[in-house]
Amino acid sequence: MNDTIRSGIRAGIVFGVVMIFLVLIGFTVPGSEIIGDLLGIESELRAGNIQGLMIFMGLMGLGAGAYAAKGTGASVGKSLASGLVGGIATGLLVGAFAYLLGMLDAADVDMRKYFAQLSSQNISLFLYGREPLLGALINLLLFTVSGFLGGLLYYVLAQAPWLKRASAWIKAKRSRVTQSTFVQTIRQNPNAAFVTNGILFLVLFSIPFLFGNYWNYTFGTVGIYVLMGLGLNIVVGFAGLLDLGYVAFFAIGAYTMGLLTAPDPLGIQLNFWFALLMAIGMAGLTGVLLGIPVLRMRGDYLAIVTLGFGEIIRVLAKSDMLSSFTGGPQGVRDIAGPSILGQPFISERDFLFMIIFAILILIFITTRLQHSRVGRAWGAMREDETVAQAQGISTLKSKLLAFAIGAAFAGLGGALFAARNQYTGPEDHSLMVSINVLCLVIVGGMGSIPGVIAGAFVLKGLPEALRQLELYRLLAFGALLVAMMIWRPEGIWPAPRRRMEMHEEDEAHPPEAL
Amino acid sequence: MGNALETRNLTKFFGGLTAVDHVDLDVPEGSIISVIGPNGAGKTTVFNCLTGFYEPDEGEILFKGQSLLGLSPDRITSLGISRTYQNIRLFPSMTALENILVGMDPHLRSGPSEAIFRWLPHGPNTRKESIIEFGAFLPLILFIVAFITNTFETEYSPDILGGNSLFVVGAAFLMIIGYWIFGVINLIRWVRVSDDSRRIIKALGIFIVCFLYPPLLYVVATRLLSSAKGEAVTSKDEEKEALREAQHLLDFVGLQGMGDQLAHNIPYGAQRRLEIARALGNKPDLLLLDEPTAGMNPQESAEMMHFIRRLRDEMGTTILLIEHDMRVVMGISENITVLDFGMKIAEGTPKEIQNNPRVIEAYLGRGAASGLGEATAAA
Repeated sequence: MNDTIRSGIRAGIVFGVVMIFLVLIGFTVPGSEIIGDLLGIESELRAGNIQGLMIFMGLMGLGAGAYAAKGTGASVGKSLASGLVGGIATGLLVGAFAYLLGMLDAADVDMRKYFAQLSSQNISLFLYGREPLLGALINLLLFTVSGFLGGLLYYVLAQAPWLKRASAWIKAKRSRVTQSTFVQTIRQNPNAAFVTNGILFLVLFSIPFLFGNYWNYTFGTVGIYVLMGLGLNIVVGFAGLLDLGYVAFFAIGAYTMGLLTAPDPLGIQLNFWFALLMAIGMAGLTGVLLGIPVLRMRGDYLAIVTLGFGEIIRVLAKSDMLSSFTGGPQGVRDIAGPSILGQPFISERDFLFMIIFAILILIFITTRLQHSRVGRAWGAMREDETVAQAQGISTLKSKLLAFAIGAAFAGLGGALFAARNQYTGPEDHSLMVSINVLCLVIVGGMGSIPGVIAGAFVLKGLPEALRQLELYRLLAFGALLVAMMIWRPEGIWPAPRRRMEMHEEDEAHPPEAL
Repeated sequence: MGNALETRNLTKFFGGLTAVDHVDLDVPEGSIISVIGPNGAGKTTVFNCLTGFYEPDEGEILFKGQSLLGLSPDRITSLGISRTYQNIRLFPSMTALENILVGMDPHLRSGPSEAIFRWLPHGPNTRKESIIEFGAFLPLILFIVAFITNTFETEYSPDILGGNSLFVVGAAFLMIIGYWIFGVINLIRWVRVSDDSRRIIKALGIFIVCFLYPPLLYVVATRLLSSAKGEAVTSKDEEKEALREAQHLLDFVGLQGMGDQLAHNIPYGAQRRLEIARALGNKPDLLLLDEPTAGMNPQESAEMMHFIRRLRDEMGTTILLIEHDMRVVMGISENITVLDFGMKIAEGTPKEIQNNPRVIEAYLGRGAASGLGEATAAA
């Protein structure tokens, strides 16, 4: 009994505080609107949606109940009881807070002095448009009921014996399918890979036709981040060199493309394809040039130096001193797009084609490198640099190669980015880009190619889909990172090797890597 | 037989501490030599000096007559010296086979371009051929330089070529044509080496693709020709052969069937042997073993001892050994060097060392040594 209450109260405090925090930052307004939009509920308020908010609160309550039940587990009674206690505790906290806010608002205290989001409107949304006491009671009731349901839900989903039987059944079925002669023959047939890859390519190259311009543009942005992610994956994931200034190479690619094809400020106006090659080469060369001074640095020191390098490039591009060369803060405008056989090739759809094509080539290169002597040398260097060198691996060459290839990939991404926007300026190359790319590599799964793609979709694609939450993007970003590092440190779609490392206890059978 | 390795006056300071003090060491080819001494005597420091981890402050290290001073660890390893570590240092999250393949790295030739184009044989073997091959890319560099100096008419543009850019571009064109002609000749020679009709199609494909940058034809055709003569291999074949060899080494050290396991998942004794297998991947002439039986029970130690002897007998590897287990040391060494406080205090056969009073003193202290001396005298 004791631990039921303790677990419930703990869950109540956690979820209550989170809920109060969300109210304080005004998250309830866009959150309830999104739910309202999704379910097609008309809002009677100008900002926020009361039914949507109720559902949102209910979901939080479910979470609180389930979390409380998870603390005690096992029996039905305990699950339900702790869920109920969790719900009541959350409800009491939130309700008391709602009552307090309501009373303050009724006394004409302008809360916006302290919390910019706490306008009268938002407070009244929080009270569901009722009197303070009634609104607080609604909150309490809502959380109590949903907490109880959460406890029940947890029991049904995680504890009930039917679930284990069901999962065992699915496992048996699955292994019967994968072990069956039919699947085995398909797997061993060398032509099967061609067919599956062919279907995959068809699907990939039909994407640009299926969507409108807006989505093609969004997918293009995601694709460019995939390009950069693939490059950084080589530097960080394969070779283990933490590079925080990766945007520098992106900037060099973009500026090379811009300066060589734009009428201003240099007026060279080269052909796009030639400029693309130059951009890749230029970025790769810079990668080597940066690599040389930092060869002896390891870990944190390397991170700091590269961080500085990334900023140097941006500040140089912005500076007045070089403004006759780089266009200064205004950047470079009217960057040329590609053309094939005299046909301009510059719509969002065309660029998406090009980006998908580039991604496929880079994936090919990355996989080949990964499974070669070069990839092995990177792996050894990542694990133990001293021993790798003592095994005869030239760490000098390996590091420079990783830097150069990673940089060249970013240069390609930057060049395509600049050509697509027909503009590039210093603000395109802020530190945030480096952090985003690093995050997508980590969230996706270090050293994993599908992970990079998954990470790019989660970190760049989802925010586009949830435009209404724009204000809270960084919040969601941070929360996602913390959650990932706690529950799934190996990433969304990790490389098989890392999955083995992180979840050794789950692996009953011997690993089958290589 | 000559000495595989010798050190003369090898000295290493750490601040005020003399870790290794004028040590002379002779390791004849094909022998098993041990270095022993109490903890902190400087044994591992000697190893670290030999493998290039530390730069010695004084003295000389000769490996087959060649000085090792100032060489980086990877250079020293590729000359044919391998080592293992006192506390096992495998690559923990790589598989056993991959660990051995990393050890074989100095004997593999394929670089990044051969890894990406797996049908492309690796580069030339001699320095002269390398320079000629690099020359194929010189016109490209010249073009870029000429382009930059002529096009960037801003205050920052470098003026390297002066008024000679026309001349430079002309020379680059001549080079391109020359390389292309030789490339065509080599491509035809390659096709005619065998009667494989598919080669004609391949050659045609290469010929067309190489119009992107004509000198490339020379590089590709020359490499293909040398691989047809058996002087070069493709990355694909090399990897296949290396994997076979690694498997063989794995079997040799008795780890059959463990190839696909992660190194940190295999048992302790097996990790020790895997480390030796990794060191053998380099086909070393000299193998440095740092306490190979540390943490083993007597039976495992005995097995390891037989294994080390087998290494020498079957592979002809010279072995230099640091060891604490006296049974192992006395059992397999042909010669023993004793270090104490960085100084060599004795050298000789196992028998001589066992009876050397200075050695006993170093291990057991002065009193014990004198007591032992009296006991021997009384007897």
